[in-house]
Amino acid sequence: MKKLSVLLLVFCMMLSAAVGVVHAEKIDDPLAGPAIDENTVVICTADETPSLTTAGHNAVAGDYVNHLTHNGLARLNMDLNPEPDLAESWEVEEDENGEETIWIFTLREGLKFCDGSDLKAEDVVASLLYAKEQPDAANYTQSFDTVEAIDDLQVKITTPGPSAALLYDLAHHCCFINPKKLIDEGADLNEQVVGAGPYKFVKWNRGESIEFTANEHYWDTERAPKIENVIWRIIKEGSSRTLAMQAGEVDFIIELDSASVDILEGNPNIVISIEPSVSHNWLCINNEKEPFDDINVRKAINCSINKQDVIDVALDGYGEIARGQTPEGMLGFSDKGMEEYDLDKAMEYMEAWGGDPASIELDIICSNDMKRRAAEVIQMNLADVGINATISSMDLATYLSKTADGDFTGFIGGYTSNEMMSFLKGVFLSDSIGAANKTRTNNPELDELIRESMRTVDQDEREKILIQASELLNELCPEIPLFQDNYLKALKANLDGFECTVGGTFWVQDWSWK
Amino acid sequence: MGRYILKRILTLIPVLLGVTLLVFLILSLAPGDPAKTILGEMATPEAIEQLREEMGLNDPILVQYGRYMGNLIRGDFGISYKTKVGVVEEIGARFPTTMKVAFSAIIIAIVLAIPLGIVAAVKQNTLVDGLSMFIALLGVSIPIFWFSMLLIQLFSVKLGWFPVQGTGTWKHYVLPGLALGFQSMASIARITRSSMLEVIRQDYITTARAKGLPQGRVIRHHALPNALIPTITVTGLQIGSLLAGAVMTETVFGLPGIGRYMVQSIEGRDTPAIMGCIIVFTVVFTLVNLIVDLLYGLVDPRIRAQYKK
Repeated sequence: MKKLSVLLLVFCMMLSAAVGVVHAEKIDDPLAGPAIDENTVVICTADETPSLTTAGHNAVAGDYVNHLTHNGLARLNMDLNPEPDLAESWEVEEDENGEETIWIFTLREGLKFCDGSDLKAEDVVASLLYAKEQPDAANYTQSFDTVEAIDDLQVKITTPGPSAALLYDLAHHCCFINPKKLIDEGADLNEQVVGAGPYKFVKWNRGESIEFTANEHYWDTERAPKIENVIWRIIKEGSSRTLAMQAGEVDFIIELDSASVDILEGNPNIVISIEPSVSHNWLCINNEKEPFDDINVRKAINCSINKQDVIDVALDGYGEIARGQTPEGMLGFSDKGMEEYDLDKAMEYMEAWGGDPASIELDIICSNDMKRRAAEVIQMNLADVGINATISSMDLATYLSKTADGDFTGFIGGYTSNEMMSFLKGVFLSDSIGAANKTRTNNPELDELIRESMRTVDQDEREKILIQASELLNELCPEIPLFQDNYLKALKANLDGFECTVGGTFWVQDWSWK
Repeated sequence: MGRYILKRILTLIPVLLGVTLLVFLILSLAPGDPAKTILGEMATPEAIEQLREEMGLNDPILVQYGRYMGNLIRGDFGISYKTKVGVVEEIGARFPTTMKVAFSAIIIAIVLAIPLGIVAAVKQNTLVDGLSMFIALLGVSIPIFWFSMLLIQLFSVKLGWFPVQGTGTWKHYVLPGLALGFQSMASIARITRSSMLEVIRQDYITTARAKGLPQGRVIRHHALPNALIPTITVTGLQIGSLLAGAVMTETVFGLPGIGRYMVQSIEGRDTPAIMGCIIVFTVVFTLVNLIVDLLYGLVDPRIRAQYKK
């Protein structure tokens, strides 16, 4: 038995060494060209969309595929500003109270769905009203009240008040356009996927892949798909995605494992894309609970945490320090008033509070390994100022319930949005307590700034208000900003035309094989 | 025999009732709200309430269970909270993949394990025995996840013999089957060895040898059939492990199977989907046990005679 154990140990060491060699060696010659052929691109992702409908989910995985098959009146450009998509133009008119609440959208002429049927104003009306009824779309349909067709090409949308959020909402997948006929028939839009996007749906092999082919009726001929077929491959495990890329079976990885960067780096056939994101991550503190209702305690915690260490440990270094309470890269960001890692300052804030740091009970809730690693660094940092933090791990469902109900002192969380207004509305508006305002911030001055920004259609004016809101938040320090993670993607070196917004959106129709 | 099978199939009903009630209660009493999980962190309380109402989550637990069982009797497993697609359809799309992986794994396990166990027993305390049991020990000790990665590195990335992920051809099932079957192989080989060791010490084996029968014939015709009973039992039990292990292999090899579907459903508190998977696993496991019992009769005439009573 003893001999057997020794043999086993030696064998395992040899196997481990063999794996080590395989990793260290790096694969110098994976298949460089397309995984299948020059008319096809295979995109690999971690998560499967729950649905192919546009208004029946609120998942990032679904947003990607919705952008292939559907589109809306507006779309966000590379700077995350709305630009015309199905609508050729729009005008804002004043109502009887002199407020700019009436929007007239003019559709492009000759628009068609992928099945060849005409896309008219009545389809826009039906789609937006349908979205308004869907709970998954609730966050993106509050900016409009009524939707009417003036004629085949013109749509009138009224907003509850002047609304700067309307265009952003119309660019969201929840407000993408489906045929009125299907909506009226009560058709299953998950089965009958008919949009006017650059691609049309072909087949869904559940749990494995979704296939698309170019939509010959796509309106934007200048940006018509250059690669005819898209295969959306689902591989949950990060290492398996990397191995699939090394074996040449996929052409693009949406979520590259940070641990895999070293393995693929230096391979001439593969390009690694590391782009900043507006995904804002923080240590959320319950501002309603003592002693975290004291601004000095929150600022002391903020100054105690070495955010670069958090990034190094939790993200393998692939992230940027969050320099404000709002995401850097969005219109209206400011770092004014935000303090950095400084233990002396942390001690000063502790003294200003006047309590015993050891009496602070901070339990940091985590729902995955990355959050846990971040929490472990924070726990060590807080020990330097005398705070004994604890860490609790739990599943996502319990985590979401506890954090929304305010049943916590702290947790590692984050929020991803494409624009500042919806970020502020979701994360800090007092109306969102019980939903995404998990710090439970309730500040009338801040509420008014957020509402004013949403009413301000003029972008320059809105930016000034948003900056004021950002600076007020930096002063209040309701949460402890940690990092904005990087988008890590891998693609074949001969895949041309890839660009990604800081919101994570990319346009497959612009891609081509060199 | 027919009555026996019918009786065993009918025992499925109380088993399923017990399992469904237990799982339903656990899911209902566990913290976490499916509506919040589906709608995400940005959801408003109104949207969550609307969805809870649509999903019938505001009804008392027993009412929800009664409604679920009523539908189940009519063959309706419900609609997945997350995908809003029928659970029967979801499971139907994934079940064949899991079965293919489990089937290839059990075939690989049996084909490797029984000869390994026999050789180890017959050549007890020799190098062959040590090597056989070393391989078996490896199978038990090596984590499936790590072994799967190793197989992919070698056979897919380095040699390019088998695809890394996906389904479609028989080649897609070789590595998952090997990864999954290796662990089962270890258990089956060890039990075959110990069972064979016990049998070959029996008097009738000594008698067979004394009659001058060749070693191969003694093993094949006299020892093996009697040594197979515990092997069949363990092989049947391994089906359960294979279904559990399928979660790992399906994740690593990107296979659209029921194991991965169940894990995703648990993460999303998708009660109808979880219930559907549990029911399918329960039925499969019970039926496998029935098949195991029937196989006893095939290899042992004494048990066959009992069935006839």
